[in-house]
Amino acid sequence: MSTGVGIIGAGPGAGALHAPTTARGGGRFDVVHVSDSGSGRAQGIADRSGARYSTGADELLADPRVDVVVLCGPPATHAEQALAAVAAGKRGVLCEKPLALTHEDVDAVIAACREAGTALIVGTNHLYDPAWERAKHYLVARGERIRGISVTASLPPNDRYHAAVTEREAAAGPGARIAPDWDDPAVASGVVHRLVTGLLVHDVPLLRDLAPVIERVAFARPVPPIGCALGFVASGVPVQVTAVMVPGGADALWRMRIATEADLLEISFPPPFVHAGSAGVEVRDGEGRVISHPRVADDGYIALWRAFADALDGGAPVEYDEIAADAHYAIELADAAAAAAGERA
Amino acid sequence: MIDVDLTRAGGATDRYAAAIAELPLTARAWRDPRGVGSSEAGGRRTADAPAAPASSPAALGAERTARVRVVSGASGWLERAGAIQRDSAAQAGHGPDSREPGSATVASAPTPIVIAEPEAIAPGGLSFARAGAAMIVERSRMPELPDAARAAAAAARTVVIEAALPTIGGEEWLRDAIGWARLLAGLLEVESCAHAGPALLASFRGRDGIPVSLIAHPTSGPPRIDAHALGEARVAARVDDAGVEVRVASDLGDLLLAADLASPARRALHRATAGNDDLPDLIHDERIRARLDEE
Repeated sequence: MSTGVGIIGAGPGAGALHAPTTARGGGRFDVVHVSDSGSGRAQGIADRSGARYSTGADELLADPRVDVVVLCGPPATHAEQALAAVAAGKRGVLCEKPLALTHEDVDAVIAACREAGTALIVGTNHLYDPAWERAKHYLVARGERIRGISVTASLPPNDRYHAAVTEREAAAGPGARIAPDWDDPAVASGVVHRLVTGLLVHDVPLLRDLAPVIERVAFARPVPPIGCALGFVASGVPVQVTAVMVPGGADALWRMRIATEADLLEISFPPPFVHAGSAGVEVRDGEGRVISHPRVADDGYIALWRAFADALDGGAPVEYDEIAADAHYAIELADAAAAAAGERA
Repeated sequence: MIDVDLTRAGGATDRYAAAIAELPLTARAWRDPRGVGSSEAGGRRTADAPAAPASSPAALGAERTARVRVVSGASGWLERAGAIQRDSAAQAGHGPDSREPGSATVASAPTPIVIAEPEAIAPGGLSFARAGAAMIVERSRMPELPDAARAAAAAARTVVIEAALPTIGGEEWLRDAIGWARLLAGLLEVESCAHAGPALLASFRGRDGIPVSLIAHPTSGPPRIDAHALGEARVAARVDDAGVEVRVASDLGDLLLAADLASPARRALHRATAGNDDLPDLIHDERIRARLDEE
């Protein structure tokens, strides 16, 4: 018997990602209700699945066929909607990142889910990518100290990846990304904050695994047209994170490089939205040997939904404390980076 | 044809001898019979000097033979290069560009110097008087950027440098990592720098204010520099002991650019014939490196 899924929010995260991904679960999940804030896009997604559609979250949360809720709306709504889902007795919440924007909201959501026994998972798909487990296993087995971490991302518009996994009505396409006024300190600070909590957060669980305690931000600056470059020190490890969103051109690059005392390990993540297998892992060890781990068919999104299923079925415990710690780390980093970017502007 | 003086080449002698052998139409080995720095001949090379090569300016008339001195980049290279410059200035007579063409006694133009893989040096030491001698700097980790990479880098939105520095030679590798940032982003200004033990994080402004980030840390494994220019087209350069690999990614895909398979010494001699001057770039990179040390 499949689990009824209600999706709140009808942007690309719903239509190009979670709705089609549930169809890969062999019937384990069934989208039964989609809601939005009144844009009308929920109907389009719902019609494809034979699901209901509505405006706002209330009707969806009251729908008895909805067992679990996927939160794909604006980040500022996630904490409130997660709490509402728990209050409505839903068995599980898959919350797109970030879980919440304040430390208090993180704690409130975690406490509510823990008390209710609600399965909770956050949509940071890099954490669930099978490649990360392989990389972590290698690092633990080698037992070497981490010397430096570098995350580099260069991202064209997602349209090309949406087109690979869904179809949309011919309509006015999304507007061009409008470059912020980076000279305005408030703008610079705000955009950097959103980039950390909404984009770079994909790698926060990985960074926290490697360098768990943020010590200081060395620099944080915007990268025109839309992007940021951060340098911070965590647990004595220098971490450099650069992400830029470009108007077109080359395919997406998202790469994490982890340097130990002797080894260099690189994880190259596939483009967003698509199901093209796991990330690639390549290690150049201290002896100069290059070891390439084979990619596997499952990508981070499929693995994320499988982990959600395991949590719902009781096959795996929900790591509330880890989820909370990741969320706190993201907020701490975002706040510090935003402050540094605002001072610099 | 250039005459290449290897008397001060030290440990680089064999490499440059091989490079000369690979340039039969362009270069030949030359030794100054008076010894470098000698002023016995009054600093002037005459057409009938015993060691005057057949292709000396006097012999060739209007054709002038370039002479290049290779100086080992080992410790003390600065002093050795300085001595050559002073000698060269003395030979030039009244100034660095003093020439008397057409006369039997020819006042030489300053002799270009090739520094073979120079050790890192404090930038203050690089401000010695330049007597007009061009300086070619052999830096094997920094070949010419291919045209396709140069074009992509010119439109980059940001540059990211990652450097794994060896225990021995770490300063030179860091200097070259900075050099790669310059190749991709133009001249740099330091914005911030932070140290985490032996590692460092730095941010810079490049050409037109383009953001540049650098992370450098020690390694006990093979050293490596990864340099990225990010934009609609991307450049990814990987530098290690095996050489330099440059890739360009665009909407057409990912292209591994053809490598320049000439030896660094041969490339240096070519640049010498072209009249390049690499000193400003070296000074820039060394100053940035020293600035990062101070922060």
